[in-house]
Amino acid sequence: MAHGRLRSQGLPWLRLVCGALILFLFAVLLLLARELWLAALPAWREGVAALLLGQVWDPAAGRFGALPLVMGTVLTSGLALVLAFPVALGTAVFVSEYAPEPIRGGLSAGLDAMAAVPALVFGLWGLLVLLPWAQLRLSALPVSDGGGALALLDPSGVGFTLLGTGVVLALMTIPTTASLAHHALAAVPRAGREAGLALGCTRWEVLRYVVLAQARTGLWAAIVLGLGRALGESLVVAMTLGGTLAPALERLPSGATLTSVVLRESGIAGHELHLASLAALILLIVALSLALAIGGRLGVQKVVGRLEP
Amino acid sequence: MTPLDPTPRTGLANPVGPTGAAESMARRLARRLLVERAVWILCALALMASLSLFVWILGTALFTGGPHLVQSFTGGGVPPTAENPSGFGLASTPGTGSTGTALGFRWGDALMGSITLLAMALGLGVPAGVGVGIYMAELGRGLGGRGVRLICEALVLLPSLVVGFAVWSLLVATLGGSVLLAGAASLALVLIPMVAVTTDEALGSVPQGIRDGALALGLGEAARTLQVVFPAAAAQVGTGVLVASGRLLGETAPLVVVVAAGTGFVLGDGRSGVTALPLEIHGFAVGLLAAGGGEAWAGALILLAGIFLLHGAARALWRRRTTIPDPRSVPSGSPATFPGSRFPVGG
Repeated sequence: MAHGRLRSQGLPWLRLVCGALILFLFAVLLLLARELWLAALPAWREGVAALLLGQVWDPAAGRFGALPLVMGTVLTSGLALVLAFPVALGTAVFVSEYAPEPIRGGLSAGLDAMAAVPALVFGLWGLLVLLPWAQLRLSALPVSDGGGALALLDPSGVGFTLLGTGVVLALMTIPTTASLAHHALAAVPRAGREAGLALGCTRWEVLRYVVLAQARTGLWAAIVLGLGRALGESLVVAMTLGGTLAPALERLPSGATLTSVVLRESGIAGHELHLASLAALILLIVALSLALAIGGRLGVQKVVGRLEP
Repeated sequence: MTPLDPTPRTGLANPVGPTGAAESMARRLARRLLVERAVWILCALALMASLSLFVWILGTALFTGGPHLVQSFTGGGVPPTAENPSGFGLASTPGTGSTGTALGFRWGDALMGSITLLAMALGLGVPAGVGVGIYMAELGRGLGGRGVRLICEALVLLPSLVVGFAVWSLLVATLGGSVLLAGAASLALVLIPMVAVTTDEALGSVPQGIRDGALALGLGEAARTLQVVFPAAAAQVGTGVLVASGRLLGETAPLVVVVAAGTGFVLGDGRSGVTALPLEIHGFAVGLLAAGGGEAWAGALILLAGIFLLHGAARALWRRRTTIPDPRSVPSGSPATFPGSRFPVGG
C-alpha cells in the first residue's frame, strides 16, 4: 500500500523538522553572541589589556578594569565551594547511607524541595536575616583594628562583604549539591554494599571503598553544577553586597563579582562605554562558564577512565 | 600505613589485615567502630545544618511574610507612604484607597505577570526543547547528536543573566521590541536546554527492545519515535518540564536585566508594563520600593507556594510514569532519577 510505503521508507520528515529547529536555534545563539560581541566592541577598542587587567572598576570615573571583579567571582565561588561541599556531602551520605529506611524517602524528597528554593529567596534571607544578625554579633567583638584573618570579621570592613557573600553563596549551593550527591550515591547498586557488609566492613568502610568509588562521576557532576550555580549567581551577590546601589559601589574592589555588577548596573549604565564594558564582562562570564563546562566534561572522562579496569 | 589501608584498586578493606602487628584485634575493632561512630555523627550534624537552614528560611517566609500578606489583602496595618507607589501594577489605579489593599492588588498583578511570562516561555520553549531532545536521543546518534548534546550541557551551565542581557541587547536595544517579549524570550532560552536534556534522558531510559519491536512492526523513524518511544517517556518529559517551570518562576536575573535596562529601574511605569513576582520581591528587598523587607517576604511566600505547587505536581507525575521492562531483558541506558535538582537555579 502506498501509504504504508511512505511511512516506512519515505521522507524522514521528523529528522528534517528537528534538524531545521536545531539549525534555527543555533542561528539564534550565534546572533545573540554576535550582538554581545558588537555591544562590547567599544570596550575592546579602549584596550583589551586595560579592560582585563585594569585594577579599578569605577563607572563614575570612567575606569573599567575587570580584574577586581574576576577576583571577586573566583574568591566568592571558591569560598562557597569549600564551605558547601563538605556539608553537602555529609548530608547526602547520611540520607543515602545512614538514615533508617522509613524516613529515607522523606529526607530525599526534602533535599529535592530544598534545591527548588530560588536564589532570590536565599538572597532575601542573606540580606534581611543573616547579615544583620552576623553584624550584630560581630560588632561586639574587638576585631576592628586586628589585622590578618580577623579583619575579615570586621562588620564595617570590605572583607566582611566578601566573607558574607561567600557564606550566603555556600548556603545557597548546599541543597543543590547535596541533592545531586545523594542521587549519585543512591544510584550505586545495592549488591556492592551488601558484599562489603557481608565481609565485615563497617558502613563507613563500605562507603569509603565501595560506594564513593562507584559514585565518583555523579559526585563530580554535583561539584560542577554547584560551582556553576555559585559562579553564575548574580542576585545573591548583588543583594548581600549592600542592597542599594550607592554603598555597593564604594565596596566594589572587595567582593563584587562579574555577574553582580552586570545585574546592578545594566539599568543605570549612562554612556556607551559603560554599557560596552558590561557587555565585555558578560563575554568574560561566558568564557568562565564555558571553561567550567569543558573542565567538567574532561573531569568526568578522567574519573570514568580511572574507574575502568 | 594502617592495617585497614587496602590497595586502591581492590577496593574492599581487609577486615582481618596483616597480623603480627602490636595492635590486637580487639583494639583495631574498637578503632574501626570509633571511626564509624564519628562519621555517623559528622554526617548527622551536616544533615541537621542543612535542614535547619531550610526550616529557618521557610519559617522566616511564613512568619514575616504571612502577616504582611494578610495585611496586604485586608487593607489594615501597612502605613501609607507618601513616596510609595510608583507602584508598578498600580500605574492605572490612582492610589486613593488604603495602601494595604493596593499592595494586595499589586501582588495579584505580579502573580498574573509571572503566570503570563511563564506561559509565554513554555509556549516558546517546550516544543523547541522537546524537538532538540528527540533529535539528540533518537535521530542524531552520530557526531551531530553528540555536538548538540555538548552545546546543551554547556548552555545549562550558562548563567541566566547572560541570556537576559543578550536578549535585551538584541530585541529591545537594537530592534526596539517589547520588554515583555524580551522577558519571555529570555526565559524560553533558559528553558530550552533544560527541556532538551530531560527529554534526552527520558527517551534514553526507554529500553532498546521497544524500538526493535517498533522496527519489527515496520514502523518508520517518525512513527516509531512519536507513536511508540515518546509516549513511553511522556510522563518523564512532563516531570522535567514541571521542574523547569518551577525554576523559571523564580528566575530573577534575566527579568531584572531586561526590564531594568529597558526602563532604568522604574518598573511598570507604563513604558514597560512588565511585572512579575521576582521583580517586585527584588524591588522591595533592595529598597527600590518603599514598603520594605516584610513586603518582600510576603511576595517570597507567594513565590514559594507556586514553586512548591509545581514541584509537588512534578513529583506526582514522576510517580505515575510508566516503567517498561525491556522485552529482551537488556538493561536500559541509565536508571532514571527524579530530576528535582538536575538544574542549578540561576540567579
